[in-house]
Order: sequence, then structure tokens, then C-alpha cells
Amino acid sequence: MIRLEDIKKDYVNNKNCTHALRGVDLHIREGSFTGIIGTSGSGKSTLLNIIGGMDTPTEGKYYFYDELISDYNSEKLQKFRKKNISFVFQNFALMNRYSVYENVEMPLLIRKVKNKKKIVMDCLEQMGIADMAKKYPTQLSGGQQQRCAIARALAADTPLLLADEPTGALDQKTGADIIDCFKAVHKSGKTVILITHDMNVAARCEEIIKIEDGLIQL
Amino acid sequence: MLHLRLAIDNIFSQFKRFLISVIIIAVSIITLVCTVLAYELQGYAYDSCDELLAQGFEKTGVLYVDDETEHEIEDAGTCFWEDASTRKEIASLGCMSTYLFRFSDELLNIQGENDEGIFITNGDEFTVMTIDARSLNLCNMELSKGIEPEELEFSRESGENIHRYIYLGSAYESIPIGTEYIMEGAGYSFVYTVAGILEEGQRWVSPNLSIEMNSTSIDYTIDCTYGIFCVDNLQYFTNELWISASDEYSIDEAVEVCLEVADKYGVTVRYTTLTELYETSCMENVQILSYLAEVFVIIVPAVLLMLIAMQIVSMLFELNTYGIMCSMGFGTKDISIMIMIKNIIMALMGLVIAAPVIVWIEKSFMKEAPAPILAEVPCLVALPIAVVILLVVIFLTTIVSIIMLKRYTPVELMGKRN
Repeated sequence: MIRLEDIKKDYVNNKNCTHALRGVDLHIREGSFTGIIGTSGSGKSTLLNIIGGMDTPTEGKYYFYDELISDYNSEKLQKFRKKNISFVFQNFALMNRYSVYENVEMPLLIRKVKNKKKIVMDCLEQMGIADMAKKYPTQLSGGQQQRCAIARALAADTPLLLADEPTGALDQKTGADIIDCFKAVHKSGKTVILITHDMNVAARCEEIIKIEDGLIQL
Repeated sequence: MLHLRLAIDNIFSQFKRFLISVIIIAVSIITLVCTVLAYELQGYAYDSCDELLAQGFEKTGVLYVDDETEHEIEDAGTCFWEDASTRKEIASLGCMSTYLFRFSDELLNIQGENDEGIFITNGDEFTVMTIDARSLNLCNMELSKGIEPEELEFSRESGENIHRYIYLGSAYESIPIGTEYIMEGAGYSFVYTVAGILEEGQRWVSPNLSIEMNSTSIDYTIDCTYGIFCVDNLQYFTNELWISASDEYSIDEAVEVCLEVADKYGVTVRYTTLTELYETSCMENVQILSYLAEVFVIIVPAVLLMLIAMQIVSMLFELNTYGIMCSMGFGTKDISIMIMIKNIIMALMGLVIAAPVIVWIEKSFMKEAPAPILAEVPCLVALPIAVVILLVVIFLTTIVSIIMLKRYTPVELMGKRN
């Protein structure tokens, strides 16, 4: 499903060049549940952003189902994200001025999906927060907010779900519950890539990839 | 609908900033309307006369014939007038004045309470504008019916029966052409024949214009709806003569010929062109407008920059939201449309706030406007200009937004970099 060949990413800031990725080769098969682990600054989020089409590599080739994504311009990347990618972020990235229902509905609106209400309520049901549909993100606990974010990703119905430290802002028990949610999503046939620095979380993934200093550690 | 909804949500999430922008836009529109209004008023006296005068504002002037030795000059003046009238450089040279006449109760009844402007009644007497036949083509006279001024035939009559033609305003349309009114006095009688009815909306140049133009008056044309114009060629002497230059000559050339002819008959002639009168009288207004223009030149770009700056600040606060939207599948186009809708709503709100003020200006200051077109200046002229400028603001702010969105990747928008 995903093939990365010698992916490099440099950030240039005030003549200082930071090599975030220094030649990553990676293969992720369809339907897998992959955990990417690494210390802070190892380049794992950069890797996830490139996989998700949120950022572009400086060098290297990124194939998604044999399509060369690394050559895409911003417009094509937007279409790619819309069709294939859902994100879950550490800080939940919910829009606080929208209700839980409206947050989950948002990806459906942009995709012009019919029968939105049923889909949204199904996703909220699956995440166990259907009774909070009318509440606003600020009225929810961290765990509930993350469930809402996962429900939003689920509603988009994309083949690939990317999660950047989804348990990072949660306590251990809540974090474990959230991983259960990802497991459920994975079981429904989605490919899940999850970034974490927590070994307990990583241990629950099918495959683990370790990244260190911008390189995959075998 | 989605973009509209997002735009409205975006507005409410930054309501204070939105409100400040709306107020700035409203104040800008009002300032703009007032400035345009000042310009339109300033130019109106010139434009309205320029349109009405057959040879235009810049080819018309007034000659003042000195009358220190009245009787001698009167003869010499008449000779000068007759001679100068025949010169090719001169299109028209004649006089016009207002007199009080009483010759028809029928006309008086039609005029009724509608005695306005210079055509006022005094008891049972009319104010009639008497125009020398040789200055008839000073203005463009348009008739709805009757005999054109150039086809009038004058016979030199003297003694008891003196014949004059009258042209009536459109209010007297029911009076048949050829109707005669007789005004009798001690030992004389005048016969007035209705020669034509003026077109509705016909105006005539005000006799006051020959004396001065002042900076407060904005119009020197008079409404002829209830006007009565008496035309004759009696060559009575007047020391104010209207002059307009022929097609191929300038007013200076026409005046030069007049001065030569005046010399020939020993008449002292002073003159002024309408352009001189206008420039002298309007200097004060021109200066005020020039200051206004300078202030405006500073204010408009400053307001534009302020609006754009506010948009940028507003965007910087919203970058994270835009990043989240991008992660959900929204594109730059979607976000740009949302920003554009937000800007349009902002501009419309500004207009909604400014509109009552503009209507108030129109009703309070323009209700006595001499011409309907001038009364509508705030809405018909100034407002469209304001709308065009607003469109430019919307366009610029949207472009700035798009440039910013294009410049950053979704990750940068979200401020996430690892």
C-alpha cells in the first residue's frame, strides 16, 4: 500500500538546515496496524505527515498504491488526502466552535456524502460518545475528545488512518481505551499507522517500526 | 452552503475583529460618498451651464457696456451692438432680463401656486424673462411644439402696436400656438403671440450668472416648467450683453472683435468670460476640495492597508484551524472561498451600516438640489464608486489570504514540525 524510497526531509530556517528524515525506506502493507516509535525529534511526525500528504519530501519517492505521491502538487495532495487519509492528532484538533456532531460531520460535508446523520451517529456510537453529540469539545474530557477525533476520522471512510501520538495527552487507562478504539477501526478493515513514544502502546500494534535520528532502525 | 456556513462560523469566532473591520468599512464608505458628493456639487454649476449653453461654458461671456453719458452711449451702444452682431466670430450677442408683466389671467391661473425660482408672481403680475432675439441661440431651446426661434419673423413696429413672441413652459401645454394676449397701457399696447411650448425639463441659464458666481450656489440654470419667455428685437439698450463665440472661434477672439467695434463707436466695454467667473468664485471650494483630496489620498490607502493587515492578523489566528481543515480534506480553494464569503459579508455589513447615513445625507443636504440627477448623486454616483472600492478590498484581501495559504503546507499551518 505504502512504499517509501530514500525519503529525505530538510527544514531550512535562518540558514540552519535540519535533516528531519535522512533517507527513509519503508513498506507498509494494506490492512496493517503499524506503530512508529521514536524519541522526540527523531522524525516520526515528519514521516507521518509525508505519508499523509500534509508535507512533501525534499528528496525520495513515495508510492501509494503505485501512485507517485511525492511528485504531487498541493492541489493533487489535497485530493489525495480527501480520498485516502484521515488524521488523529495528539491535541485532538477538534474545532471548538462546532459541536461533537458537527465536528464528525465536517469530513462528510466536504466529501458531499449523503445520509450524513446516520453515518455520524454510527461513528459516535462506535466510539461510545453518541450521547455527547450535542456537546462542544470544551465540555468533554481528553479521552472523549480523542474518541470524537477518531469518530471524525472514521466518518471520512478513508482506507488509511494516521494517528500522531493519539494517547500523548491522556492518562494510561484512557490511552488504553483509545488504542482499543483504533483496534476496532483496524478490524473494520482500515490500515492504521500510529506514532507513539510509549512502548506499551506500541506493543499493541501488529508491526513496529523504530525511527531514530531520521533513519529507520532495523 | 458549506462555505457560507464556515464563513459565518468564522465570523462569530472572531466577532470583535469582524466588527472593527465592518466599522472601518462603513466609515470609509461614508467618507468616500461625502468626497464624491463634494466633487459632483463642485462641478455641477459648470456642467449644467456647459450643457445648456449652445456654445458651451468656455465659449460664452458677458460684456458690460459703460453708460456714464447715458443718452449718447445709448445711441453709440446700439450701433456697437448692431455692428458686432453681424461679425462672423460671434454666434450670439444679446441681452436678457426679467420684467413684471400682466397680460393673461389664463396663464396666471395655470401657474397658480407654482411660482418658483425667478418666475414669481407679484399680485397679478408675472415675472417674464425677456430675451433679445439675437441671444436666443445662446442656449439650446427645445420645443415640444411651435415655431423654432430662428424661424420667427420680426417686423419693426413702432407706435401703438408692438408685437412680441412668447415661449411658454411645459406647464402651459394646453395653450394653442398662435394665441394672442394683449397688454394695454396708457397710449400703447403690446401683442404677445404664443410661438411655442418648451420641452418638459427645459432649463435656461440664469440671468444672475451675468453678474457673479458665488461659492455657495451650485446651479445657475433655471427650471422653465412654469416659465414665460418673451422674445423681441426691440433693441432696447442694456449694459449687459451675453456673448458667445462662433464654432471656429474662441471667446477671446470674439471679445477682441467686440473691443475693436466698441472702439469704433467710442463705447467703453468691459468683459468677463464665464470660465473666469467660475474660477474666481470657486477658488475657495477648489481649495477645500484639494485639501479633501489630499486627506482622501492618505485615508483610502491607509484604510485599505488597515483592512488587509486585519485580514492577515485574523488569518494568523486562524492558521491552525485552516490546517485542521486541510487535514480533513479541505483544499486551499475551499478555504479561499470561505474567506471571500466572509469578506463579502463584511463589506455588505459595512454597506448596511453606511446606507442609512448616506440616505440621511441625501435627504438632509440634497433635498433642495436643483436637478433630480444631483439629488441622486449619493446613491447613483457615490455608492457605486464605494462598491467598486469594496470589491477591490475584497479582491485584495482574498488574494493575500490565498497567497498565505499557498505559501504554507498544512503542517506549517497547524504549527506542527518535528
